[in-house]
Formats: sequence, structure tokens, C-alpha cells
Amino acid sequence: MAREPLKVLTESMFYVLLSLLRQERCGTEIVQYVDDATAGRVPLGPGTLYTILAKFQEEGLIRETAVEGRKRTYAITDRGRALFRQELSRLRLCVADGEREERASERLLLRRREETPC
Amino acid sequence: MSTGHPYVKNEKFRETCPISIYDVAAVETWLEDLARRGYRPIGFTGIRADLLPDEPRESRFRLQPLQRWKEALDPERVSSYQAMGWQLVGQLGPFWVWRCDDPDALELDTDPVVQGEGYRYLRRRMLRRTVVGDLFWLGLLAITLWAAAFGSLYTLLRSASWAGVFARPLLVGAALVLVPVELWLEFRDTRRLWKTLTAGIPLERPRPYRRRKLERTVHWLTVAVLVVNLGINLADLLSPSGWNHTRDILEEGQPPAEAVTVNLAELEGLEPIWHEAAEKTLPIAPEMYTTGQYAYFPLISPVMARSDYYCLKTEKLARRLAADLIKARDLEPQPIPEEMNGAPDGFWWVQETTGDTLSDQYAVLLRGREVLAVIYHGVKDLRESVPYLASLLPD
Repeated sequence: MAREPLKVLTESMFYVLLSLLRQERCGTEIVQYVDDATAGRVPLGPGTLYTILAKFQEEGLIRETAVEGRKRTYAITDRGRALFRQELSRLRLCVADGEREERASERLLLRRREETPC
Repeated sequence: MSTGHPYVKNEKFRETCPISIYDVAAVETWLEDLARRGYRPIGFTGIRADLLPDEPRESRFRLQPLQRWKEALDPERVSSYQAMGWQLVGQLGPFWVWRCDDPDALELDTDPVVQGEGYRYLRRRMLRRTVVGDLFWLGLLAITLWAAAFGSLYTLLRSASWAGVFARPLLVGAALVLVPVELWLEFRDTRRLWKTLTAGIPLERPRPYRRRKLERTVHWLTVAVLVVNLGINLADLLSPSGWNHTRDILEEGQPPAEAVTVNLAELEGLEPIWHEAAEKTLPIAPEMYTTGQYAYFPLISPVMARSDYYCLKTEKLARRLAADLIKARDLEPQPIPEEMNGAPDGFWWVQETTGDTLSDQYAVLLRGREVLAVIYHGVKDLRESVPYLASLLPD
């Protein structure tokens, strides 16, 4: 079942927004950036990229800034930045929750080992 | 170059998509199979793939949905796809079709959630198509049932052939079975494809695509049954004289003695000129005659008579036919002379003035399984000729 994309971003969507934080980029530059930034961990197929770009434009998260021949350049909007920050906070909370639970489970595991007679 | 195809050399040819175009994974597999067998899809005409013989090759084909009714492809998108190894093949229905011959190239869609998002317009379109299609089928079924239930026996007797009389109930029965089956198959297919389009198209395709043989057979059978039935009903309605499949029985300008008909010689004492006499039999009406005649009356306009005689299989059918005829002309019941030999079960009559010296009279006489309908333009009052009309009925 598809999640609501504009409240909770998928990894591909997150990295597309991330790629536009510092500068405007065209489609090929976005793909290249995501590939470099994730060392190839997050593949961004052209179909996925252009569906995301269309969706983001429709929702006002990015805007087209220049068209040179076949090249279109996109920039993130204030709304896009806000959604990115919101997603980043959510991910931080997820990571914090995960780390806390992991530390707790490790402590528990250690105590059980100490209590178990050899 | 070996295509393995017996009738293809270097000519472009077409092959119809054997599955629903909304079954994205199946259509992609079908195109990949074609490429593997040495047919290169180079474009699409409707739901048919334009193919050229080619070396058999392993290619990937991917379908991407249009986002609106008429969508022009962004040139940047096309060149970006090309840069990543994907060539545009063409538009197949509501999809752009892309081909990739490079096994190392990245998949077109790498995020199933985003892919599902892209199918929103397509899902709406598929649902709309299904609803419109289902309403169409239900409409045709309603027309078929309405024609069967409320169709006039009068029209059936005059226009139908032997085959038509047998075919009608069979066609209606077939439509009653086939249309619900067609609707159920449509519903099942739409539900399955809806789930697929919502979840994103899986890249793993362990099953070969399923040709919709059952769906296609039922679909075309339903179309054939409804079209034939509609054709029969339309032919009945559009028949100019009202009588079809009759046998001409005029011999030297006279109907044979056994033909049941009024005769102006007996009715008016005038020698008639017969312009039509025909007989017809049907399983539900073994004997029917239709005749037309006219005669010149001194100093006034010509006298004309047209009579239709029906001998039905049962009295119930005869009563139903009489009711149809009475309703069609708005006839009124008339008293039957007392102490009459072979008195009819009923006699209905009406007169319409036409501005001419003579008026038109319409009469229907019912006795047992027999019905006599007369249209008369003459001097005599048909209400006074009931004994004569009843004497014409042979039973």
C-alpha cells in the first residue's frame, strides 16, 4: 500500500529534495548527485525521478527556474525546505528511538549473561 | 536473419496485444517475448504493436502511465532516459513504452511507492472505463429484455422468419447468461489490476503473462449475441411494408381460393383489382394471409381493402394479437348480431374520416385461434358485415 508521499517521504524523494538544498540542478545532475551522495546505495531510475519531479512541482515543493534547450533546472521552494526539515526531524526521532532501544536491549543482554552461572 | 516467422521477411507487421493494456507487467513481458523471438516493436497503432524483424535479443520494456488525457513528452525527460539507456518506443493506449537493450542500465522505476503514485490518473481512468463499459452492457441487456418482454406479437408475426422465431428466445437466453459473466470477469480483472497499480509493478515476474482467452471469448460472444439480436429487432422495425418472409400467391391477378381474405366483389359488388396476395407460416402461426385490392366506384374515389388473416397456434396467442391490433388503432368493441351462426368472440371497429368522400374503417374480428384484421376505404359500414367477415374464417 502506498504511503502518503508528501507527509512521509520515501528515500528517493528525500534525496531529490536533499540534492536541491544547496543549489539548483537539472535532472541528470540530480541523479548524479544522489548516486555520489549515497555511493550508489539509493538507485534513482529516470522514471522514478521524473514522477517525483512532476509530483513535487504539482505540490509546490520545487519550481522550475530555467529551460535551456532540453535542459530544465529546478530549485527547492520554502515549502520544500519546510517539508525536508520536517522529514529530517522525523528521521532523527526514528534514529534516536532506535538507538535508545538498541542500547537498552544490549544492557539487558549483558545483565542476563552476568546472571547466568557458567 | 531468422525471425522464425513463416510469413514475415523484411516487412513491418502488426500484432494485437493479447492481454489487457492495464496489466502492465503482462504487457511488458509480452513485448520482451516478442523481442526475444526476433520481432522489434517500433511503435503502436491503437493496441497493436508495429513490429520489424530483428535479431532475437534480450531487451527490457517498461510502461509508464500518462499523467493526463493528452500528455506531450518533455524533451528533457526523453534525453535523460536516453542517457540512462532507455529509448522511447511509442504510446500504447495510456502508456509511454520504453525499451532498454543494456542489461546494466538502471531500472526505469526504482521506487514502487513513487511508481504507485504515478498510477493515480491511470487507476481513475481504468475505473471510469470499467464503469462506462458495465453501464453499456447493462443498457444493451435492458434493451434486449425490454424488446423480448414488451415487443409486439403483431410485429413479430409480420416480420419474423422461422429462424428468427427460434433465434429470439435463444439470443435473449444467451444474453442473460453472457452479460452477467462479462460483468463479473470485468470486475475481477479491474480489482486485480487496481491492486497491482496501487502497490507498484513488481520487477520479479515469475509467472508468464496470462492471455485472456476466456475473457476475450466471452466478450466477443456477448457482442455477437447482442448485435445479432439488435439487428433482428431493427430489421423488424425498419421493414417498409410490415410483412417479411412471405410467399407471393397471386396467380393471374387473383388470390387462390384457399386464401382467407375479404373480397370487394362480395362486400361491395365491385370487381376488385388485386395488387397483393401473400401467405406466410411460422411455428406459432401456421397459416397467415395478407391481401390488398381496390376497385373503381362510379363517380367517387376508388374503394380499397386490405385484409390480414392470422391462424395462431393457441387461443391465448390469438387474444394477445387481437389486443395488440386493438391497441395500435384504438379500436372500440362492437355488438355482435344475436343468433348468428359461428359468432365471433369479439369484434372491434373504428372509423377515421380523411376529408375524402369515403372514410377509412379499421376492424378486427377474433374467433378461437383466428384473427382477421381489415382496413377498408369504401361505402359499406363494416359493422353491418360481421356475419360476412365471420363466414370467411375457415375453422
